[in-house]
Amino acid sequence: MTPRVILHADMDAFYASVEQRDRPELRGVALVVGGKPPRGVVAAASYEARRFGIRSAMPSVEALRRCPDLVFLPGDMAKYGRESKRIFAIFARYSPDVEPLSLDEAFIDVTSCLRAHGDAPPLEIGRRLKDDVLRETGLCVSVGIGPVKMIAKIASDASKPDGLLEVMPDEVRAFLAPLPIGRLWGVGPVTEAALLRAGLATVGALADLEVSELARRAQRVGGGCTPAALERLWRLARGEDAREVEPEREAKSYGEENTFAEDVHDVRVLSDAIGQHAEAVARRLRKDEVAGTVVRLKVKSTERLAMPGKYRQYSRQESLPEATDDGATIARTARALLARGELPMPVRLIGVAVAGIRSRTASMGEQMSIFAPPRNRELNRALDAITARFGAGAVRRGAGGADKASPTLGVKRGE
Amino acid sequence: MEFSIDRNEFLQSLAPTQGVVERRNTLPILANVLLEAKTDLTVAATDLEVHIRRRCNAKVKNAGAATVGARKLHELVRELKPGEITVRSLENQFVEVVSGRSRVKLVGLPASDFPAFPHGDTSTKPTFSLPADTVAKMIDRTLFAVSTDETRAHLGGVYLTSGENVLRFVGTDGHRLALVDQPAKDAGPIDKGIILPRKGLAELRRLLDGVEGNVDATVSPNALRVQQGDVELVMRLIDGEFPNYEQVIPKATKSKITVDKNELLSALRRVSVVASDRARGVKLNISEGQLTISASSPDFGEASEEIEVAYGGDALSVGFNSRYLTDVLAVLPEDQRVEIGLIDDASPGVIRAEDDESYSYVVMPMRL
Repeated sequence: MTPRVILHADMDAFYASVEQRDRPELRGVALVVGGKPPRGVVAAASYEARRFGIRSAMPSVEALRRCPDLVFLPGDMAKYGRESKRIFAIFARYSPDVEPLSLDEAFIDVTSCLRAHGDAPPLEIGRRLKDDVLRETGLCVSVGIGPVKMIAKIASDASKPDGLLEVMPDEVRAFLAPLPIGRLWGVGPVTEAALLRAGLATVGALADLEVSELARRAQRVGGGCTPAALERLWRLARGEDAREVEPEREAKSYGEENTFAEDVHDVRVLSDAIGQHAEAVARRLRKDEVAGTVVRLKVKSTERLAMPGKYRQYSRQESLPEATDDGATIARTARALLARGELPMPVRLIGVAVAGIRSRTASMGEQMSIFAPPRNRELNRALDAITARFGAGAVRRGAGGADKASPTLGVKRGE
Repeated sequence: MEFSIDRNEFLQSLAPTQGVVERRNTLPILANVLLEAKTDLTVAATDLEVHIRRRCNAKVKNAGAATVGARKLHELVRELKPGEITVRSLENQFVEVVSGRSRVKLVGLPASDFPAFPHGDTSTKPTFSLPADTVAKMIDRTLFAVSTDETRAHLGGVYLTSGENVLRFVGTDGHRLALVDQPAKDAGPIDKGIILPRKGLAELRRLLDGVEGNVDATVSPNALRVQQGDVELVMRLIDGEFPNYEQVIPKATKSKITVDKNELLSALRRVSVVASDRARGVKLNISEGQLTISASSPDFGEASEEIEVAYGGDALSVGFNSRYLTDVLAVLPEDQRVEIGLIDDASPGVIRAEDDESYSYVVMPMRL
């Protein structure tokens, strides 16, 4: 198989750069987009601000301490959204296989359209992309190129700002080897600490292990690192990653949420809303013939944050032992999450989502559970049929409490 | 501390500590054994969930206590020649082991840091007392069905409850359930039922291999204390609500077949070779006088095998995870026929040894 050519394009200090482009007086100035002290948080920092060690997600108080002349801008999400559309339109000219990661970041797989680029070398394609973005939007993008997604992303990070870096397939091992182990995809702080304890400080140290050593090493690493998990990391460390660029990624989660017309103080109202959202999510799961293993509860309080239109938000999640598409199970789990720990009353918004989505049809042989009798399946089938004919709300579970007109307003379908 | 002990006697005391000591190295002292020399020697280990200690014959010269790495000490003693070993504590927590011309100094930790063995009321009558091989069999028949899923702690152990002159063990992982009723005169009462952790039972089971005599067990509010010969084992109970298992055991099954155990087991092993790796699904087709076991997967191929059975009812086809079937067949007696009761392809199946109501195994089908 010929190696793939994957570009990772990542805008440099996106929000801050847009502001500096539009307001020449801010060019060369240390600025951040985000909430002002004392309560705000940095959403994005210009390169001038980064020189002071200011990073996104840093409390604004801390940022101001590091750079007393720092300029705070409130941020204009609508404008950034428009810019994002223009940038992605440029990406789309380079390949149909574009996987967006965020507003300002995407994987672009050009393997299938190298000829359309006149068989130009990948580095040249990357250079053209950078030129196009700069000429058409006035913004700088860094581009990393590699045979797998992770390499491309690390390459763009390493080249920033205004970077362009290609890692050839035969350079991958040497490129990855000196990197700290925490740079590998899937290595979070906990796994990183465990790997460090096991003497695996760099990606190279992991990659150099023999496959026969992995099981024993996994035991030494401990901390829930199974041999299979270590082998997956080991493959990544050797630059082997079969994950493709997924242009239209399947939904990573199914969510329903609503903002209440009036702030809610009554837990029963929340519980009722959870029941409705859970049923709606379950219906969509069943319709798509998928099921999920993670139930997420999102609660927005009425406490305003410094960013305009932002409120403090809480989310809690729970993993289920088996994937579910059952509204009662989702509701029960979400209500347990609601009861776990204190709630920021009153509540402005509540949402229920199911993640860890897997296809039901693809999973060969579903093992039935002994304690969840399959009658739920029959009931759900009947519910779906009625809803399909008479619409949502025509039939509801009785156990959800009083069936009063709920204060649902503007149900938003998440993700 | 200084004592002399026969190498084999010492080895026998160290062996049961090996499974108990903490593997994850959270607290270094939990990787050690405690050697406590008074009039005789006690060897103890714990991971705070399971405590074990054995009293052994030793000539104590100086009373005292020391701790030293359980694995290293076991490894060393295993390699020593038969005969007498002298063990003494030195300065800075070192422990010296002398045997013949060999002299080994092992790094230790202060004995005062070692967790105390849980005090129990040893004066009360044990909750039950059963022959070791009976307890071993009860564990063998239930522990394999227990969940290994750490998110379902309440299923991570065997449920123990009592009735009138009967003890009941129940193990389940949410897919299958194994239940043993053991007649036990004067057993209990165990008020609410307790959940015995997998690890504690596995260690207990290890102790019972080839052992004669009775096992005395005493239930306290948060632990089970077991005494077997010179060995004492205390396991902390799992705090959780065991599911309502009685309601999932079918009272009656519509279709019942009787089949030779060994024939069924070996057929399942052959057919499941081609079942997909993950699900290991096999299909049981029953029709008059015949059971057909089949499996197929796109990666490996397909297989089927027919077995003669005693059956006269309607044809029925149900899928199962083959491992869930072979697991239970492996613990049933060699020379017995087994009964499989089925209802339909979405209801639990029940497996029992023929003419034996004391052991029931309930298994949910798999959609194939």
